[in-house]
Amino acid sequence: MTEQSVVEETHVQDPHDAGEERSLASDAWRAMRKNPLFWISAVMITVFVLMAAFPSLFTSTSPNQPVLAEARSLPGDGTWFGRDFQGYDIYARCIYGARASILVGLFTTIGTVLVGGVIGVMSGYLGGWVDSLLSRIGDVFFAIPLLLGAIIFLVSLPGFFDSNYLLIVLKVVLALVVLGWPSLARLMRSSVIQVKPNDYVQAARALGASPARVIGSHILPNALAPMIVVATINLGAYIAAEATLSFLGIGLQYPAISWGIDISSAIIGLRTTPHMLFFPGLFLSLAVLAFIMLGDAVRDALDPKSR
Amino acid sequence: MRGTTRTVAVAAMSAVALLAAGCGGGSSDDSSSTDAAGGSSGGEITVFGCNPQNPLVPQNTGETCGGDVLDPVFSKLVHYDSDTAAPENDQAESIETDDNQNFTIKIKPDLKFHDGTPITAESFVKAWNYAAYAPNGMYNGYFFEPVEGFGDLQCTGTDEEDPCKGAGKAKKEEMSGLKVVDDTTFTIKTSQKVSNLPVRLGYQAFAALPDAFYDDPDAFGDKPIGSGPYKLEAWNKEQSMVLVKNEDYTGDWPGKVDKITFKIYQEVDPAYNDVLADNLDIVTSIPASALIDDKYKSDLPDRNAQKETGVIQTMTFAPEKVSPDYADPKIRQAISMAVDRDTIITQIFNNTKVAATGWVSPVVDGYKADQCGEYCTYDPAKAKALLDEAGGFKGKQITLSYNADGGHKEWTEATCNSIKQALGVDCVAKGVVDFATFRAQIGEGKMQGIFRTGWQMDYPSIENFLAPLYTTGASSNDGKYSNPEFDKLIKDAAAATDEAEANSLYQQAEALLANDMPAVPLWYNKTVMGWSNKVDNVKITAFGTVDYTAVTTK
Amino acid sequence: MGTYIVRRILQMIPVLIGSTFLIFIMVFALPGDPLAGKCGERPCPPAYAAAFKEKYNLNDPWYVQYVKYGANLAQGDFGETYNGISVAEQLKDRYPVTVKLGVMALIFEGVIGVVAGVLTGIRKGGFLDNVVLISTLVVISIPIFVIGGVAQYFLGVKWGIFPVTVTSGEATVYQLLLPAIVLGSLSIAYVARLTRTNLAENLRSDYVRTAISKGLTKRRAYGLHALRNSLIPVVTFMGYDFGALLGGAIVTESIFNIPGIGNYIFRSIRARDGASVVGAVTILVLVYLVVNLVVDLLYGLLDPRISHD
Repeated sequence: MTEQSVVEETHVQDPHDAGEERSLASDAWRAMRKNPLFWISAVMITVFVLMAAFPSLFTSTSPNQPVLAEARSLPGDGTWFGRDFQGYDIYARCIYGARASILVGLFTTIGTVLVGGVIGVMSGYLGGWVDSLLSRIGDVFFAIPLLLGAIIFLVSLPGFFDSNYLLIVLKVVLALVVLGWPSLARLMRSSVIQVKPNDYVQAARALGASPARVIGSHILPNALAPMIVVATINLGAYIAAEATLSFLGIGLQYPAISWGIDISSAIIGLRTTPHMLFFPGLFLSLAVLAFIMLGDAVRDALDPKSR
Repeated sequence: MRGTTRTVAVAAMSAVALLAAGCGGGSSDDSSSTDAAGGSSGGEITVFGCNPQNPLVPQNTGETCGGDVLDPVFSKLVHYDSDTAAPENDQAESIETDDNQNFTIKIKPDLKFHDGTPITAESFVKAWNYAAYAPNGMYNGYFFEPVEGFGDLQCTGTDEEDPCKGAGKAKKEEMSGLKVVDDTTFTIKTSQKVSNLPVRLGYQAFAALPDAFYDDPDAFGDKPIGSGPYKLEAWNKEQSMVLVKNEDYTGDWPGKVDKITFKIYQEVDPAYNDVLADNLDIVTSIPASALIDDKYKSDLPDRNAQKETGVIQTMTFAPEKVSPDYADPKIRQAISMAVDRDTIITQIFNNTKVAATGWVSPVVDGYKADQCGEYCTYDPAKAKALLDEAGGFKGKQITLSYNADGGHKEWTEATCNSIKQALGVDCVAKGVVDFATFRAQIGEGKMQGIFRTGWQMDYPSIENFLAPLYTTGASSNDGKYSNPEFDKLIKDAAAATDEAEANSLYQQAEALLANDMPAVPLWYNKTVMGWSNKVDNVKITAFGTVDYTAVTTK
Repeated sequence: MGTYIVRRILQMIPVLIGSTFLIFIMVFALPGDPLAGKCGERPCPPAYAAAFKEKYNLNDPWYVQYVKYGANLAQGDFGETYNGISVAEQLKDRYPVTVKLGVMALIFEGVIGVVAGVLTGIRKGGFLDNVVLISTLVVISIPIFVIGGVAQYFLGVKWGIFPVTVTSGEATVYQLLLPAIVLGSLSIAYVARLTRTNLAENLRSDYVRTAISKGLTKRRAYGLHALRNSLIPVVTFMGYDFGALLGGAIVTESIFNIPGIGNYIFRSIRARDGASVVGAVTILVLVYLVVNLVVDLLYGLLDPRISHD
């Protein structure tokens, strides 16, 4: 649901800007520099990425060393954010939870961009029956609601995927990619179709450039900008989707640590121990916010009409 | 022999006392009734319900969603006291035996089903044969296993898909051990001695069925015709089940309220919230969110109750063939001693469990405390020493599997953490997607390491916590435990004609489990319930259900 | 126009078959045994299992099951759940509730979203604009289960403004109000931003400037011309969103115990009840496709520049 709306909003690049890719980028950069939202989100993302890569920079406490006797204790007493049901240090869990969330967001975004991009380009460039076929296949996946499809998909995956951390993350990524690629394919296809009839593309083809070259040097640069915008925003959306799946008990699971898992187990304490819910919820919301804000800033910068 | 008959006689006496009390309660209720519908109305209540998994036939229902509704609809030969779980004769006039193998059952005369047809000895015998006859596929058929001739009614085919095909078809349709003597008398002969048969007869598998059932079992499953204090009026699939008081009920435990509506919920949380708002009258469990810091006690002051029920939670070790790393009893005992039951119960369960000291629930007759002894007492130092003595844990890590759809994540993780911290061996709580898959893996012998197991008693007897779980080849022996000495004690106990002697033999058998530790006793369940401002006299039975016949409106 | 509709409808058929097939395969691949959960803490008696498997064709290979299922479905027979309840009956009972919830959520997001979008779009870059911008971003960032849980607790349990749960199949508008607000909250942000962007764009367009220079009041020029044109993409988005709301109601429905379709599908997946899942999703996909078609046609009507011929 989220991706599609984003697609609606994003304007495909004006073909006239085609030859000025470099100056467009520098224009965009100039515009972005002036946007405080960009700087705020950039700083936040840097912090979260650092957290994901080097959690030990932020805490020396292990996220897997519970003190059950002190479970549910409030912040203070040697813990910044208190302890959760199992007696884990919530602060440490929040720090270590960044990795799974960022990985899911990042991998899913890369996956959907690759799959959706390739299929979209093929569909738009080749046209004809290939286009019809690929578009219908896309429709099939698109018609299945993301959350529902992901649930069925995750539940039906074999237990092999539960054996280690990376596989557990990949499992969720796979589910989101399988259901998420069509929106990017549609976006890419329409970009390609808009760019393709232009004289310079036709000229390049007439001069005997290979399809790969035509796509690589003429079509992609133009179609890429909206893709980047959508992908950045989706990254945030996928982090939230992972949390929702974990909330329903079918997303990530032990030994993965994620905000979604922690929120899911803390939700029953909403009335009694809200601090357990608040902190991972805050981290999750901030991370999602950071990526959506960045995507927003990039869009504003790339969209000549908004300048 | 005499032991058994005497129990029943005493039970019959207390039933008379209860009858008097019941009448008193009923009449006082009538006078205070303000229901506009008029008549001798006792008001209406709405209680928590869930989706029955099978058609509502007592012989085919083995889970609580259907069982809760069927219980007040069908009276049985024996009624379990709602406080003590002690059996008392209900539809039975007497149950007698001299040798624990030949039982004569006399039923009360003039009993009637809800459709007015009389309840005779034939009503029982026919229903039992129907349930035991394998091609009928009745879920509770296994309850009749002790009856002589049960084997002839089973399919013996080797065809995986349908063992009843061709030559595998069951040889007979009636068990040779059941004989109708006259309208109100029938006899049961068991293939082996069974000391606690009368105790079992209160389970719904042993209820009588009217002729209407055989005419159209499917229609019956939608709207069963019973014999109890309540009649099923309507079952609106996925929404509600409505019971109305049976005005013609002649038994000793009549209902008080006129109408009970089981409102079907998918989750407990919304039901609990509805009780807070007085939209629902009884919720049969308290959601985890309200258990934290005893929140429910302030939410529902004086409107909650808890009671220990006949349920035990254990961790079972996979059979040696599957996971040899756990085979050494010392390792198993070390793991048991590494579990800090008390802290887990306080922190994870908010004191709604009781630390187990053996394999038998305290609610049953024959329970003996501390059968597990020091092995069920948390002692990390001793646990570690015991593990070292056994040469340490050879495997990579200890795994504790659970079904991820049943709210077991929290305690398995805490238990694993406790084991990890005490033994210094990594322990992982592993969720298996759902109960179906979980049980399938156990059944196929694919489940490794340790896995959670729970047992809810079918009938209140020490035997029910031991025989089906730990005798060689028993139906629920998930760890494939086999100990000839244990088997022999169980067999001897079943043959013992003296109740005390039988219990003592069962207790000796239970004590053997401490040496071999096929399963680690963790805790006994307590059922916690809450109710609205509109009802009173909510009593929890030893089965963890509500005694719906006792509930009154305010 | 007519040929366009026919072509679109013809295109729907493979998509519908494809997505139900996909769901069917996935449901079939669900690990585990539908039986094991039915018999409590013990394995089912073999005879019981055999009768059960026979009844639901569980012994057939998946493609035979699919053909049997498809043939029944083509005749309008949705089959039975493993509890022996007619799936068609269930769908008939449950879809109205979910559709009602979806429509209410749609109205909610539309009204609030457009108002917020107009307020911010008129003065882009102003204080109010930034407030709305940030607050919609914040709402998108909070997972729906947190919003739902908090709303239920404060508005339902604590202050008693709304009913805590719905439960009944004949839910009233009042009962569904809070769930609808929760469900629609996520999309408000999108509606608001879409309105804002388009309105801001249209306000600078030549035709609005012309209208004002011709003497039209600002209010009339904005309302009649700019807003109307700006709402076209908003309507389109909401059309697409409707399908997503129906499918996305799982979380909302489970929090408020609404006996709707999302809740049903989720539970059926858990119970690996293939007939229910495939049946419910088939209708969901169908609704989605039809709504898409209607939205596309509507788009053509609203915006004369777009032609379907």
